Amino acid sequence: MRLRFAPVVASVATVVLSAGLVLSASPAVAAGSDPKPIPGGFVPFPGAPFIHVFAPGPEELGLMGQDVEPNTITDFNGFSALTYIVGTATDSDGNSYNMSTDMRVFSGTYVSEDGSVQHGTFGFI
Amino acid sequence: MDLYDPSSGDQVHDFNADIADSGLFWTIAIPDGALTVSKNLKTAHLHLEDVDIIDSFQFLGENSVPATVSFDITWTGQGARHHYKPGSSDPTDPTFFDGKFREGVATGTFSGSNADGFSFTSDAGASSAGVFAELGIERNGSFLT
Repeated sequence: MRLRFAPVVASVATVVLSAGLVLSASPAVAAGSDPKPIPGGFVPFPGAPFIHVFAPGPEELGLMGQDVEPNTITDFNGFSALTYIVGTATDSDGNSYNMSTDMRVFSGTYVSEDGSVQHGTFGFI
Repeated sequence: MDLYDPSSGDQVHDFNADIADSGLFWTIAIPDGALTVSKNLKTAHLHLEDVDIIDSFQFLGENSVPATVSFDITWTGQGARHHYKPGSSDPTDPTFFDGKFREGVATGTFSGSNADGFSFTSDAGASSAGVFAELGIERNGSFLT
């Protein structure tokens, strides 16, 4: 199994990273009230864009360490959860795959792009 | 959600929420009701269906097609809560946050499809065991002052 960031991160920082209810996601906030990205991040490989994200987790797995920001939203105060779930998957033709995920969720108060204080819940997929 | 060919190890699908013009990475607004967190912050449950995202096939792949995913994830915290204090005053530093997090294990089910007609469903047993999961509260940026 691979961790989503581990391969790229390891090469980049040489270190760093290697309710029962059915809900449909839809933008719940307008553009001006969107959250802002964290200022930090990294370039995962030569030629790639700077991406505003870190990869918390055990360094022995090629991640950045436990004391690392899991959030992608800055000026944020609230709940955060992160997980790297791995397993296998099957497509509609019966083919098998190894599956790796980096899933996060953030819910709380944030200062938006237009400077207003907002509350929202966000999924990192 | 990444899928890899088990024979070659090559990545063949990358279902993600894309990067916003602002730079916000793979992060989209979801209904507050999709997330349930226990009062003691030891468990969390996230359930979403038919989330509109993309399949970029590779990590940061240049080509992408519209896609949708559904998933259900449960975090179960274990052990003591760690208090991570800002390790730097540099806003770009990975430790520029104040968080109280508990490590744990998460399990989940996932499914998705893309506009090319590909669809998948995760097999039973998908878990973060042996990898990493955490949940807690944090503040960063202007909320640190």
